Amino acid sequence: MNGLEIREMRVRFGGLTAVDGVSLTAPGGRITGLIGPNGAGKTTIFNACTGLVRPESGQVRLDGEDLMGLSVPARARRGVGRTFQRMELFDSLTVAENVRLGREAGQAGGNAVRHVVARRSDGEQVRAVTEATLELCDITHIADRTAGALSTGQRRLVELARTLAGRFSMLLLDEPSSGLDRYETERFAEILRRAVADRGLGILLVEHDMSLVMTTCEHIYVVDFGRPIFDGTPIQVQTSEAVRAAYLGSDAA
Amino acid sequence: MRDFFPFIIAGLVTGSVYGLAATGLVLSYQTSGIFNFGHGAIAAVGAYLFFQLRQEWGVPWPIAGVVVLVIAGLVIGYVFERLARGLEGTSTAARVVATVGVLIAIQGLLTATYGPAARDSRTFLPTHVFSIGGVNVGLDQVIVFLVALGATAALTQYLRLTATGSAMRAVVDDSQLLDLAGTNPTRVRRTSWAIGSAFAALSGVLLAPAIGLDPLLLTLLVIQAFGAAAIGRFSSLPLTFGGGLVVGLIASLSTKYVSQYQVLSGFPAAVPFIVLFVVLVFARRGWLAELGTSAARKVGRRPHASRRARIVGVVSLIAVVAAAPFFAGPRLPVYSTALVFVLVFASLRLLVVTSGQVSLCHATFAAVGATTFAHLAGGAGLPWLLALLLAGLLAVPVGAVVAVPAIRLSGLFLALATFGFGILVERLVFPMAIMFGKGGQVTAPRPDLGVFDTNTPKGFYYVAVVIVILGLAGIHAANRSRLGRLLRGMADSPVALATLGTSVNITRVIVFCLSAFFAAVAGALFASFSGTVGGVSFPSFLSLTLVVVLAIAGGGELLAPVVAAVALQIVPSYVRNATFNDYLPVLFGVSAVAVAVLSNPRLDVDARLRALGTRVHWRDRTSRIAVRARAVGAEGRP
Amino acid sequence: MLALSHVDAGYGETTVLRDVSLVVPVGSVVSLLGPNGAGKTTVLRVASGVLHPASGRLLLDGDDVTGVAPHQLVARGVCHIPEGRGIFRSLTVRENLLTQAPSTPPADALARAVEAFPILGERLSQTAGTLSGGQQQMLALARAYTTDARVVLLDEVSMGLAPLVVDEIFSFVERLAAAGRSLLLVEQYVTRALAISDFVYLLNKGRMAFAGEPGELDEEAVFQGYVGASV
Repeated sequence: MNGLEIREMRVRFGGLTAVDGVSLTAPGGRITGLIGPNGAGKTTIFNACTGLVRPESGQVRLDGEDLMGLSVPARARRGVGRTFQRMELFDSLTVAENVRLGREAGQAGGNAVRHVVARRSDGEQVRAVTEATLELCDITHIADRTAGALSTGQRRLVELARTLAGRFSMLLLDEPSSGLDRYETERFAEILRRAVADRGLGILLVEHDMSLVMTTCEHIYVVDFGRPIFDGTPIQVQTSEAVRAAYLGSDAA
Repeated sequence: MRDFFPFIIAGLVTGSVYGLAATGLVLSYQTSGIFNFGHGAIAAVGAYLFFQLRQEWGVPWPIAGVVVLVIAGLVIGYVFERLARGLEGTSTAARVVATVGVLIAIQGLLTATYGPAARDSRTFLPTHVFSIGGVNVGLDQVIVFLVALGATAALTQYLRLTATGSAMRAVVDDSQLLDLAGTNPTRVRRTSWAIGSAFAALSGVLLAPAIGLDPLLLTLLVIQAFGAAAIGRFSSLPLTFGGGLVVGLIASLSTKYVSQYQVLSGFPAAVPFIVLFVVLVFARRGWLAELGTSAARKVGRRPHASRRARIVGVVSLIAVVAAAPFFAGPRLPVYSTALVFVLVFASLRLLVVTSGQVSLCHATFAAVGATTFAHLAGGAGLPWLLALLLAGLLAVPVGAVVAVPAIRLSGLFLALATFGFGILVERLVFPMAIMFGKGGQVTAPRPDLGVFDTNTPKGFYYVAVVIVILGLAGIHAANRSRLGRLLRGMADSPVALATLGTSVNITRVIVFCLSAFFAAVAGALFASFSGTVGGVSFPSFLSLTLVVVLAIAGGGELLAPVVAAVALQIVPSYVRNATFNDYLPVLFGVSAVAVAVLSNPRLDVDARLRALGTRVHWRDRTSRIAVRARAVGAEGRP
Repeated sequence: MLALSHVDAGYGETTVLRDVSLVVPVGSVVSLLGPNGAGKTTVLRVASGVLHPASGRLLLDGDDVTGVAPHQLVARGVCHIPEGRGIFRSLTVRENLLTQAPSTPPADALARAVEAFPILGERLSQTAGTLSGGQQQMLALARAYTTDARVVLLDEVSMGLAPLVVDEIFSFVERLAAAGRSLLLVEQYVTRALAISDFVYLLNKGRMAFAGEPGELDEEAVFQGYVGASV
């Protein structure tokens, strides 16, 4: 199976079950949505996929390969990249250096020698990838600015560019449009579509901007209280009673 | 069995004072999120103030005691609360620098005022000795123990039974919620700082008669409370007090045992730091949670000097350095020392600034380099350059050892663990033959370069210039390379780096090893230059000074180490005013506090000005809102 | 009356609210709706003084209280029950109730809390962190009743609770309203919130998208705002 596959994931923090039996599939070459009200457990699912939290049970596979038991960097090297809701940029580095590290971090990997000495082929590759990604995300003009000094919209693009520069086959994007205005959001969506179309990337998108989700995703999963409550096409989600109840609580009591 | 009783009693008494100090430390840390490295300095202030009042001015001791506690509680407590508020939202590094700065400033102030030598602190408690089951116990011992125990117990009850006590625990749970519930968290924190500071001062007053009035000893003795605090997970007060007793007991009992083994003579004094180090390194993950860190965004302000300006700068710097023998005169040896410190600072900067690992044992790396070099070049007779290189390389495993806590700990706890490690090595390993040995000194040769005489100040100076420039070039190359980017990335966001595929544990080990290498080479160079070098040249306290001076030296990769070395070494040699030099540490400490507070991203001067400006227009808007409210039709519920 | 006037607010360099104005008139219930991330919590944080606006004013009974600290606003009658469980976990229920209402005489505070939620009376000596989720929320909410708050801000107080508990909490909210306290409600149970509201505001991407009476608001449009295209 090509893409990311989550089976029966369960994550518990003390007494609280944050993720309760979620299964979903995010195929390569497509954008898959993951939505739900606040506190539904979406970020926790991402953390469990990338190894930042340890699920109590369940499986995570990428292209059929089991990722459970691998460390955070090892999973990244298998091809799972991500962004963060609160943005984890290298603030004191320039935009170009941020993007560059997106590739170099994987090349250094777990190898002490590669931390210090790059392979001969690396240099050329890094330069080409950095240039192309800056271009794709339309941030070449700010390549030499320090990331910490940019606006939120630019920072979101830099974080996206950094993951796009890495050798990832699947990207988990956590609320990438928060803090963006409408125009910036549209531009962001356009970049995502191009990245998917040009490179066959798979994207799993957690997002609260529904116009972005509804216009970019082919398939959407809805979770509430850590449980899967619905999945389907954008139209199906918009007309679903279950989704409606989760968001409005109209007939809940 | 009876042989042990005196040791047990002595251990319990000093342990109870450690417990008292540690309880105050934990209280203020929990309520404010600021771990106060200067806690011991408050104890020293308390002890000196008490001495001044009682022995110099003849104030009766009970009155003197009350005055000390009131001043420590109200004045010092207030100052620390203000400082803690100024540090809210800053990085862990800034907080460590600020409170270490306080420590250095106060310690410097006491040394400048009272002199570095220990003063005799007359005991003030009745020393009547009585016998319990055949063991002699001093009445003063009983009183000290009961006072410490009573104060801690009273605090625990205060926290449980009073409204302010509840509020103090509430502020630990959620200070913002406390604010929303109508209690000013600042007022609550001020109370806890007052109590914490009073406890520190009291412990200083109680300890002084036993160990004498020595500014350094007192400052560091109460840092022993760190070990006790670690046992209490930096959170539980009763466990912390118990931890104090445990530390006191082990230290006291070990004096009985190790007195037979010369090699372990430093063990008792090292016990609290062994405890600290062991607890920090081997504690279960998640057992210790650092407080009060917030991911404040660093807005990078990297100097944007043009390439040309930088080249001009470096070239003129080299010119000045090369010309130093022609203007330095008899001070040339000072310049040699300063050169060594440039390399020390540059290697420290790699660790603390570039990669964001707050490390407080840098002097230890230099000491390892100095002694290894002395043994290899002096004892084993290896060629000078080879010995220098080996001295650096053999420090690499030491760096790796320190990197082990760095893998498990971050921020504050890493700072504490490295500080503990530094003191541990100083007390336990320095006296061993592998380092400085019993005599506390080793001798090292200068290089033999044939016709070029390195035994003159000028000759050796140029040797130092070459080695230091090579070292700086190496560090610069590391900075510019992929490794440099990885390190700076790790400093900004280790999580991001890991999710991009780098095993950051390896990155951490590498930077510690690299930094240890260059620091050790600098230490070796220093040994060669001095000829005879002792442990006193690399006290663990120096590690604190290094971090503080580097923090105030600015941000430049080359400039910061140079400025730091000049401030630490060259400036004092030119200022003939002894008073100024005495107060130099105070200046360093205060500047470090200022630098740390000013680094606060919330300190937005522009925003304050804007707020002042807009305040003027509010009336106009109120009326509009009122109109709007009426338009919406809101006059009471239907 | 509590009012926000042309407020811009955010965290660091991220602006969350842009030009937000809102009024909670005396004795009325106001609902604040909007999709996740619209900035509802931020509005409440501005209203209670936790977050100071970058520009714009916070007004209480016509006085400018912009920049006033939360505990001072509490003294002026503002009560904000934050999102999540607004309790001090390591304190007992009794200590929580007393700490929550520092200016109410202790006996009164306990009596009123037990009147509002009798279950709390049975748990006075229990550590708050060990209560069930519903009880924790009741403990947090009790503050709206044990203090003399005039304006109560409630942030998702029914979130993550069992239906029966939600019922109990809603009836408590209705009692607060009946007692004449002004309420500003952020609530995911939109239908139930609208049923007790006099006014409703709809926030989208940090801007006010709608202000008016519940009758004017099409529930379908709200839902579309949450999951559909733009409102």
